[in-house]
Amino acid sequence: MIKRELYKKTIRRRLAQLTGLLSVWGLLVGGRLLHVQVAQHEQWRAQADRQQRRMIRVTAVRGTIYDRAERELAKSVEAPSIFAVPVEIEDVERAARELARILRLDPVALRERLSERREFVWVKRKVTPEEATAVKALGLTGIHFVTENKRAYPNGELAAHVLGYAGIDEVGLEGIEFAYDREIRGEESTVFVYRDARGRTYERTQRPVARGHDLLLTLDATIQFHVERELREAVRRTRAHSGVAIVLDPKTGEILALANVPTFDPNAFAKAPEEARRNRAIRDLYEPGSVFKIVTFAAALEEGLLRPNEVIECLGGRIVLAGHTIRDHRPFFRLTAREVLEQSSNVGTIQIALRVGAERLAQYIERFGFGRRTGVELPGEARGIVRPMRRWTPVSVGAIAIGQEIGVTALQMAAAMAAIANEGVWVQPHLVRAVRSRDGTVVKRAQPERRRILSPASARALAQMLEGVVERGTGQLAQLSGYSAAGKTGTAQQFDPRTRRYSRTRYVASFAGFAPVADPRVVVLVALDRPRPKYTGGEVAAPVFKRIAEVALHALNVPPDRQEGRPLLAMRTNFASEGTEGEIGLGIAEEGKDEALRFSSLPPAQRDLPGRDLARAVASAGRTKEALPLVRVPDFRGQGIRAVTEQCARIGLRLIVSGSGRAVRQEPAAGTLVVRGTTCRVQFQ
Amino acid sequence: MLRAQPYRRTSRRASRELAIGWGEAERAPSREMVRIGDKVLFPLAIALALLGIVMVYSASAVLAAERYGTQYHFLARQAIWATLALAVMLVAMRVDYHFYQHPRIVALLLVGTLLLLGAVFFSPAVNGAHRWIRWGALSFQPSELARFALIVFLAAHLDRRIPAGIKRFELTFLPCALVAGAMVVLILFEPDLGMALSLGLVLLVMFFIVGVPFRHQVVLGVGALPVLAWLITHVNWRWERILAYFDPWQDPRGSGFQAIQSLIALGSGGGTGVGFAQGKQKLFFLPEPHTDFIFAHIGEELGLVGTGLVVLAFGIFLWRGMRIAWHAPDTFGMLLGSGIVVTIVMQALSHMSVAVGLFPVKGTPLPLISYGGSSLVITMAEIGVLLNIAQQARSDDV
Repeated sequence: MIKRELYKKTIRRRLAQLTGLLSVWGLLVGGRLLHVQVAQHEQWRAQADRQQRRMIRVTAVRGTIYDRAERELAKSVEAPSIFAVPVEIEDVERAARELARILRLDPVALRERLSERREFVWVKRKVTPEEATAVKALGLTGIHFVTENKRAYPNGELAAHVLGYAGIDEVGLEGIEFAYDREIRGEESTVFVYRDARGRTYERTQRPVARGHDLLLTLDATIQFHVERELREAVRRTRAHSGVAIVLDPKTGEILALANVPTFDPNAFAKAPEEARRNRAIRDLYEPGSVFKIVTFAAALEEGLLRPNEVIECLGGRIVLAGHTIRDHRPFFRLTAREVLEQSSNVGTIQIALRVGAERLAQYIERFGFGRRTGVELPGEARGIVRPMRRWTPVSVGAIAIGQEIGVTALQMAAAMAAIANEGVWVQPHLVRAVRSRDGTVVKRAQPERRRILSPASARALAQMLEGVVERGTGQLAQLSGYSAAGKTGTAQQFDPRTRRYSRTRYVASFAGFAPVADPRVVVLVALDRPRPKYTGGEVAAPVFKRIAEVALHALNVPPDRQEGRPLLAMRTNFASEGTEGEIGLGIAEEGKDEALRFSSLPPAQRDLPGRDLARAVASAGRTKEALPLVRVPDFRGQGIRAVTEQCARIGLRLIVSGSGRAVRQEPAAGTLVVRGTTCRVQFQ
Repeated sequence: MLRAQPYRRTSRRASRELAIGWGEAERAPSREMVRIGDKVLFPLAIALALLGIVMVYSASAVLAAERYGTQYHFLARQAIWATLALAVMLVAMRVDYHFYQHPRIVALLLVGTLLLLGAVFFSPAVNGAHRWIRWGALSFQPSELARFALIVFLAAHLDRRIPAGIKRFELTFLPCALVAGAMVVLILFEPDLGMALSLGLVLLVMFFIVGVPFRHQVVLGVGALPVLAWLITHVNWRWERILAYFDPWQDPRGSGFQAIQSLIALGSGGGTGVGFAQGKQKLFFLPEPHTDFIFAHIGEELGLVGTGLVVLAFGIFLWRGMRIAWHAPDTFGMLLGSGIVVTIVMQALSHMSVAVGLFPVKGTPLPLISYGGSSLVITMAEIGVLLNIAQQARSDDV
């Protein structure tokens, strides 16, 4: 008994030892817990995230691009994208078949993708709402949706070359979209899709996306629309290969319109050939020909080497420079300096250039900004080709003086002309007025470079001489109704790289000018590539200048400075922007009544005449031959796409279609009178 | 045969109530402890069981919904088992622990256990192992009972050999090793190496407590190690688990998967956890989040706060349990009590050690918390026995 009681002590000792042992074990576990849960927490957290959730990058909402009147030119709209989690799909065969049918995909390739042992594959990105609804209705397991954003250009081709386009990942690839990509592009957003160990998704979170900045362009959509229409019409009429037109505000350097033909629809840029997408106005070089004579004249005037009424010896229309003969288009003998410009005499101009000398001519070429990028906010602008003076041949000073042996961009030429219109101050042409954040604060405002390159007196003298070109010279077809205008024609033979000679059949016909002369509000440059059979700038480009300058001046509400006594049929269209119906204001300038152009409506009885009769009524009321063809927009509702397309083609309306099915909405409304060529937007459902 | 054992009781009253043990209620309890035995252990056990129910639910809801169509499948069963376990514990508290010392009771317990262990081979296999006997919607794991039976047998047998017989190989070591060996072999055939190992460990611990000569235990070790080595190396997945223990990243999607997932659960939980029911690892990353990896699951959802509290709770359990064994009125009580405490604490530590990567992966439930009826009922019964020992502590010792 005693022994047994004593034995308790032995047992208790052992119990104490055992307790100690187990406590040490417990402390080890505790230590490991601290290590794993506290010290290594971040590492395991990351490890857990890697296996528990999947990140899908979703493109951000790009900022909107507006024209100067805040009309939307490019904006991002929500577009559903469809992805699959292949392990969740029950019947891959059926899923692939159904999806391929609805989304118009290749069923074999789709089945292959859906069979991959992956947790995420795109089925199709940025589908239409109708497609998404149809896919949802299938109720397939393992097929999921995320909302992405898609770039939309609501006006189709309008200002395509300026805007450029953005690709599937909402990254700007061309034009302003590319140049301002950093500002426009918002932050990429991430959708977290939580998944279990078997790869099935059960939850998702999407962080709200930050939007990119908005852009306010200098473009005026109304002017742009008319410029594009006139240019397209001109290219068609003159059977030119391509054409460029630029409208600048000479005082601010703002580009009001910039158009190229051929053009493309940025909504479907991938389908357009490079030929159509290239922004020729800034990328292509051409020899400006006679338009470039303004540089020679500016140099001579500024240097005090020439008075406008001074007589220049024109040598009967030919001059020999270092063995090369340069001719005029017809023989001239003695012309005043003014007449040299008006008649575009090469010989007279070369005589003046010889006074100026190679050195000073080179200086002025540089001052006018040739051979150097203007710095307009577009990618891929060409520098131009201006050979340094040490590489000039003895004939160069003459050739360059008349716009040969030199490569310029249309924009450089337009900016040079603008400097003369702006009393000798060269202003950097630009497209972006302001970058604005979503809350409306202006992040960046345009600060164009300005340089005085001529004295105001020389600039004004030259402007007056250029007015003579339009009044009496080669540019008479550029005369405007109601406005004075100045400008210079150019007809340049193209250098044929194959024959290494100037071609006799390939010309660039151009006209650059401004109006009104006393207080220029617009500078317009028109250049047509390879027009035929007429090919001179005066015949081909000057009339286009006239049409463009007139609509631009009207759009800007510039009061006329000429009382030609010629009644003017004026039309004012409000560019049809999103949500508002297109409106047509129609009126006639009343003869000699007032300084300002006044619009008065037709008598009510005549307003509802059918299109052609109405145009005739307006024409007769205004006693003018120039009636713009008007058409009445038909009622498209309930018709199919094909029928609507055919009707539009027949009556000359451009059409932008959205959706599919039957027409449910249209803009402008049925019955509205519009100018032929106006764009109709019809929504189908 | 049934020789009276003169010093096995501390009070006459207790001796009168041998094998009946229902008399306490009539007695005026001198203090609270008389009824619940230990004022800390009793609420602690209940608190852990309640935590278990809650965590089993959060761990198993998704699993249950997928497997059985209702998220409450495991919750409901665990709650029923817990109620049953509580009742069993309350009964065990009232049964004088000397009841288990009676040779006939010991024999009955051993024979019953061995029969049940044999019977599992006639019930259908679950996951390739015969561990359960199904009875309607409920299933029972006889190996859990086997451990209790072994503790009772060892406590009774070793107590009888005190003091002189302990050192005699044929009287002490041999019979104990044979009984334990029989159970271990049967359990190995289920197969359930983890449980077999823990039974072996019970034997070693009890030998250690009563001071069986070290050389005898060496014999046991020398005999067992080659068998263990053979068992591990000849069953592919066991060997892989051992390899994975040393380098889980060797095969993170295969053999190392469970170890890594457990660490991810604990580690991502961090200090305060991802929140109750917010855990992601239970979505089929953690294998058996409601049983074998419930500690990792607690670590994920409740963080270090949760795991720390659980570790602390078992620490307190060890302290109070050992205190009861220390103050037990007789050596049988000391052996029985300490056997129970050490078994439960070791099992808990093994479970946690697997979770934190100290041990290779083996399926050990966390006592009182993990899902599993048999484990819960037996553990609560054992705690009931422990509390009965506490009730009988000699007042001069307390």
